[in-house]
Amino acid sequence: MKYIVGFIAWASLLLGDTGCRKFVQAPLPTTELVGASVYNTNQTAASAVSGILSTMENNCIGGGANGISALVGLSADDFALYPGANSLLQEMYVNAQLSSNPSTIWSNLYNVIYQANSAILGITSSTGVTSSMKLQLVGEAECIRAFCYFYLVNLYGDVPLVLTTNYRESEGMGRTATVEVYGQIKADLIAAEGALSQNYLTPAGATTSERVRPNAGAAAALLARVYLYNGKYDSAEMEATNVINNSNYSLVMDLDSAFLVSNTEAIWQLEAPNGGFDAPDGGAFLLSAFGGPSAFFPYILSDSLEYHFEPGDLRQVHWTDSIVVNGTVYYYPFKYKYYYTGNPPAEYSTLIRLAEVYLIRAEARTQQGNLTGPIGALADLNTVRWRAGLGGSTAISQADMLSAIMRERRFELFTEYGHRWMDLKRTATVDAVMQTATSLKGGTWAPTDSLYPIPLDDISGDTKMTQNPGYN
Amino acid sequence: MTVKADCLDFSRAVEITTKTLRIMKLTAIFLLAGCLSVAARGRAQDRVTLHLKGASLETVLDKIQEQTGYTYVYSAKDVPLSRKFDINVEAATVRQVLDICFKGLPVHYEILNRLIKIVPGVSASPAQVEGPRPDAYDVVISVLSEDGVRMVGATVKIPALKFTGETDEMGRLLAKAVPKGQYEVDVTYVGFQFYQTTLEVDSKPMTLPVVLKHAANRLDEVQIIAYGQTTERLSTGDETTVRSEDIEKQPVNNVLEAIDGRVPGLLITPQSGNPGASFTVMIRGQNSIQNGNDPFYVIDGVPYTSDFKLIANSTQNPSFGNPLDFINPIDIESITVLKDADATAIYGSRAANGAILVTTKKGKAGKMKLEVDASQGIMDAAMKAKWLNTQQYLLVRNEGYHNDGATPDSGSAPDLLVWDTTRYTDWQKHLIGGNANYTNLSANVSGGTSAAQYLFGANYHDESTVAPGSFRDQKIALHFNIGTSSTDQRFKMNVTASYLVNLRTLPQSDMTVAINTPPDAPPLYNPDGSLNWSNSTFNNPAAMILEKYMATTNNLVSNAVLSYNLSKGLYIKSSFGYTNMQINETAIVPIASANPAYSPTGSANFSNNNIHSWIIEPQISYVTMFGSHRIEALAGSTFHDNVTNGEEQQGSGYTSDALLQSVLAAGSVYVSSLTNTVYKYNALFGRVNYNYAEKYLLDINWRRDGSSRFGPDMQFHNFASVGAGWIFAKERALASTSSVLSYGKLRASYGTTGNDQIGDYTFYNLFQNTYYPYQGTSALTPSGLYNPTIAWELTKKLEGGLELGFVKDRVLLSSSYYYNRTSNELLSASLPSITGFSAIPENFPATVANWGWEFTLNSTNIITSSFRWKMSINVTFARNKLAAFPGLASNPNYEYSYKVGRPITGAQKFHCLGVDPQTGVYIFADSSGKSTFTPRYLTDRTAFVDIAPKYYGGWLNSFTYKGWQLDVMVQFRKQLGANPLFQSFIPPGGYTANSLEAVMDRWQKAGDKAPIEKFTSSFGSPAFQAYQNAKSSDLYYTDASYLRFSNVTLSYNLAPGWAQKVGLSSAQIYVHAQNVWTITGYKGLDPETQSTTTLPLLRIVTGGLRVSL
Repeated sequence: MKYIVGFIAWASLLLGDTGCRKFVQAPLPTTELVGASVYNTNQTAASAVSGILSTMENNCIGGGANGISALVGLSADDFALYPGANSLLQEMYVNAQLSSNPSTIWSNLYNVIYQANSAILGITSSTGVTSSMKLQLVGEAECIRAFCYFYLVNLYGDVPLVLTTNYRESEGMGRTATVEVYGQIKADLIAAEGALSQNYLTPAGATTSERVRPNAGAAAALLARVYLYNGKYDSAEMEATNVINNSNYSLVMDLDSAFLVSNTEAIWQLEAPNGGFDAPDGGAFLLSAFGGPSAFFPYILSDSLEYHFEPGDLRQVHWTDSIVVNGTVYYYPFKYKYYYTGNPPAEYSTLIRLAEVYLIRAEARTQQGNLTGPIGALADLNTVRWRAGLGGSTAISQADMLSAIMRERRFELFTEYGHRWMDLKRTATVDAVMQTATSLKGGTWAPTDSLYPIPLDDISGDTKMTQNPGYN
Repeated sequence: MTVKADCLDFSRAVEITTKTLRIMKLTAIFLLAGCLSVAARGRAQDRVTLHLKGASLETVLDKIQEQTGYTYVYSAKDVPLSRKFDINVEAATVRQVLDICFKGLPVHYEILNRLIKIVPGVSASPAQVEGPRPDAYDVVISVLSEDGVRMVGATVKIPALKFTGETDEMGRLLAKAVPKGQYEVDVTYVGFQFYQTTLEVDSKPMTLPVVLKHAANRLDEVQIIAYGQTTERLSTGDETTVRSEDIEKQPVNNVLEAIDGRVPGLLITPQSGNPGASFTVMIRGQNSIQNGNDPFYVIDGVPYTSDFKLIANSTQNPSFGNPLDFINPIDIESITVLKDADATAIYGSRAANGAILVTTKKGKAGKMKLEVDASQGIMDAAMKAKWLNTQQYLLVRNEGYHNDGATPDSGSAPDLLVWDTTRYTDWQKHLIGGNANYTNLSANVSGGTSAAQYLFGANYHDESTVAPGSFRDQKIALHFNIGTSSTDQRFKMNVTASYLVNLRTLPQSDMTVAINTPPDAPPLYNPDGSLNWSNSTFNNPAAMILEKYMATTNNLVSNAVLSYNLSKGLYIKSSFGYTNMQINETAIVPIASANPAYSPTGSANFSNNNIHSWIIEPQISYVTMFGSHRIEALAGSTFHDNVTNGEEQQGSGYTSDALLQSVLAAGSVYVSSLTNTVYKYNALFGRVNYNYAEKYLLDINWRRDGSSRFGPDMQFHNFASVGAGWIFAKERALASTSSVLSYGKLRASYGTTGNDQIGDYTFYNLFQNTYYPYQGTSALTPSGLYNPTIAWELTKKLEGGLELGFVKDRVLLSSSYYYNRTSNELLSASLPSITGFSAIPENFPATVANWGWEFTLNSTNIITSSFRWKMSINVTFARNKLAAFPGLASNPNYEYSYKVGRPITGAQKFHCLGVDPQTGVYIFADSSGKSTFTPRYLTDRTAFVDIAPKYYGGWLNSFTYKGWQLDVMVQFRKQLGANPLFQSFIPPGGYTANSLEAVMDRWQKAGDKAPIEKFTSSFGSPAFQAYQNAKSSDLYYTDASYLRFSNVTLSYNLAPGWAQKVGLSSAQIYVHAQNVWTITGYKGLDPETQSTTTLPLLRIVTGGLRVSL
């Protein structure tokens, strides 16, 4: 009898399926957080937004050999490419990109957008994050999302406006009209400017000198740029003025300081990882550190840039440099002066800085017909020129002033975040300029080259997605 | 307790009770000793020499047993054990001595099979004892093994009486009221020789003692299977066992090397000859396209990790090493490889890739035995490649420049313009040409009684490296086992633990990477002893000597099995296991190892990894027999929990080489990885095994698995198999017609198994910490998207087998055909990147098929009294293909890599048409077959190259002559492999690196027909581009088939007389050699590792001595 009791006890232990179900629920890893639980507290939510900024720094937004500054600069006429570089760089360079060999710009930006969407949705609906932190973190994420969509519409045209984290909803999405995307960009930036502090903050919400989280000033500066691109010159001027009048910001007089950590000209920087490395663009462009150009360090300044600085332009002296290899002189960008020091970084990737805001306001004022005087364009333009050691601009007419500003933008913002490429496009001069430039680079320009191809995987994986003209 | 009276009715004369049956204290211990010595001494030792005064009868009997190995059965009350007398005999027979002992006593003896039965009554005229019926008497059949262990569950048959039964927990069986007469009695037990005797029932109840000998026929040797054991003869599944006697002969660091080539269907490929290098282990081909293809390792019933991580940047351990490095090969009793569904389905979701069961040595009852084995040897790189000498090298380089119309400059060609071009160094000889030392010492003590057995073993292993510098790999291993049982034999317990400490100090990089250093390179050291950088023109390989990798691994594997016999045939059992592997590693890059021109600082990499797991498996089993039917049923449950913790820190900016092992001294530190994963697993399983008259066999297995690795929607699943066997040689029709065919079995099995090697938490959208904090606090980034439907990969296995034995099983042939289909492949499903990620893991309906034939032939070719030649050959023909992949054409992740109908181990490549005689560069076929210089990736990859071996196997010959034994193991493999001429990124002549001598056969001028294109020095030249395309063409592959004398051993057993003179029971001297010689047309270092940058397999030659006391 006792055997039977024992057997039943044994069998029930064996067959207790409900226990099994509980048993195989492995506890969550202690080194990682799962899904929505990230947004349960102020600290982890802030860490998630820091994570977005960290992702940006480490992908093409932060810079480097495959960064936005390098690749978009290659499409335009900022660079000459040393032979032997990989096929992507060669294709970008001669404006013959292939949808089957895309750059990572598209996927990197959408990955950041996913994280920003996740943060905005998660933090907004969180019950564990305090309301003041919600304002800060959601505002930061909106600012990040707007920055990414700005680049997407400018490089790719109409793009899917993804505001969800559910891949089942987003995977079949087609394009959204550029104007609608811009609508979202503006909405995000306006909300961010209203929600964010004028101060630069830490993840805990304390004030800091490091300008590595977007604040109200960053949102305003980006908004000024967006309005300018959209032809809303009065709004652009107003937002630019908000930034210029902000006591946080002033142009640094020493050009060598313009990309240093926490300099007064910086509006939004990304913190470089603390592994002894500095900003990634230093790592991509500083040919002196690598013994000259090679297949792996192929970025050389183009002749059209290097040889067309005005005489006496200090930017040529301070922001470009050269190395002689086998009797050939190679010029390279020298805005970022460090690559690896082994010490905490001296320079950070600078997403937007005050000099651009002066030039935005100058252009917005010119477009509204205000050329001189206290609210005239000339003063803003000359502010930038004087800092570069140049005399005042001689432009008088509105058309001269506009072309002077465009020229100034080229020599102020070269090899920075694709400004040259986007300026050519928005001023409809891209075909004329690139016709010549591309043939000098050894390629053939087609008007359809002004938009980048949508990566083939996105075309084949999304039935509603269409390719940009000129690509297959 | 007396044996139950209601079922046993013995005569008083032979009444056996648990109290009185004294298989004297001698039993187990001395019996074993006796057997061993009998084996060693031969029949002469049935003689007894005794010179005793006033010795008790008991003492005398003890001595007889000691000297002869005979065992006694008697009832204590019948024999006056304390009777004292003098005895003086010299080389007397047992009978003579016993006659003296029992002279005048009212007892006599009978000798049966070395068992002496002492019974009351006067010799030769036994008193008539009353029986229950005058012409029928009870018979007790008592079954012992030759080591003195009571055989529980032995099957006893008396065909004439249609009597069948199994022995009880005391090893006995009662046959009641057997009528007078002669009967044939058959006794069988798994792993023991079939026993047949004649029982003569005359005029009294009696005991029939049976001593079973271990199986001599390999068909009847015990094979460990999942949750049980079987024999090759009675198995319905496909399993192959390699035993300790074959493993012990091989001086290997990892036991996988020792079973390589010995198991059909098992393909083991070492990744390099470095200590601790990893292995690719695959049973019956690649089932999973992207996930783990490792077999399921089980050590004494406890699952053992197949995947673990070492410091990622240590090239010393390409692909992370192998966990079996930390199991001492000497402690292994047997390794069984389970292949088909019948053998593996009971392991459910973990056994799609087959299973490897490791059984460690257990204590055996017998006299205490001490075995010591010491060996010492040397190791060297077994194979070399032919490199260019300085003269040839300079010619290649200059011709490269000349062909491009370029002139070398000192920056890119220091080897031509800066260095002393009259120098010559054979870097292959310098960096990997040394001799390494090998030392292995082991000792173990074992013994015990039938109630408790023990084994304790210790081992020390030390290897140095063939690279310059003082590096070593040391192992200290301890192993113990205790088995015990209650006096009624119902409760049994067996506890085993193995502990191994491994200390490694090795170069961080495999120095083979530098054997292509130009032959005219400058000296390694400056006169002051510092490294010579030759003004930053030389990448000094001696830096690697300073860049050390140090690792300490502690590994514990332990288990306990408790079982209780509830009633006849019904057992409950539970096994408990615990494993803990702790690995601490440090890798340093000292300042002294770097070129001072770059003002370097030191760096160091620290990691700690720990894997610990526990498992509990309660089981219940039942065995019953009726007539010729035998049914065995098993049910059980598994609770398994595995935790992995790991951390890796990188320290940089060290300013002192002396402090490199301190994290605190680093200028900056970051945590480069942090792991914490928990794997939980729960299952129910069952098996029913049916056997009819050892002719018809049926086996059904079932398992229900739940695993934490699967998505919450998919956690549980059922796996099952059915196997059947028909031993047709037992059919009367066949048995009588053919005397040549001694054994024949047809078997088949079909079933399902799963693969859960898909990683932990794959389905979650986890947020991980970034390497560096952001603004001084942690930053979290998502690693992927959430997919709750992730599940196991499913493999359906079909197998048919035919096994034949000829000439009394002297020749055994086994063949099997398998066909496995794996579906539900877990792959990366591409997503448009607008979703935030470009892919998500998903189960696909893609199906991979693996099929093949396996043959094994074992034969004893010659057997005479002093000479024996045994042979074993196995060969496997394996094929693989992607059977189906719906949607492959539109799947950007896989459309270019795989093709339906083609093997997944293959790749689509350009077809190279050779060197264009006009231009001297490689040309290729485009999609229409026309030649082109610039083949296009998407359309012109018309060649398909499969690098999986076409066939492989091993051939073992074993010769014994008197005390000598010679074993020769040959392994062979037919395959394509990486062409050593296309391993470097840059073509010959293109940069400061040496090439293989074979490149000299190059194109030089228009009209030349040469296999190698012209040399080039510039990036982007047509020849440079053609070289890159050639790397993506079929030219990248070459024949890498080989035949390797993988193990040769010669041993000599000292004549027993000599050994005993010095107090040893046996002694052997031996020479063992591993990777002795390889025959191959492959031009690289080693056709197995197929790389010019990793150390080829080492040749090891050791000599040693093994003695036992």
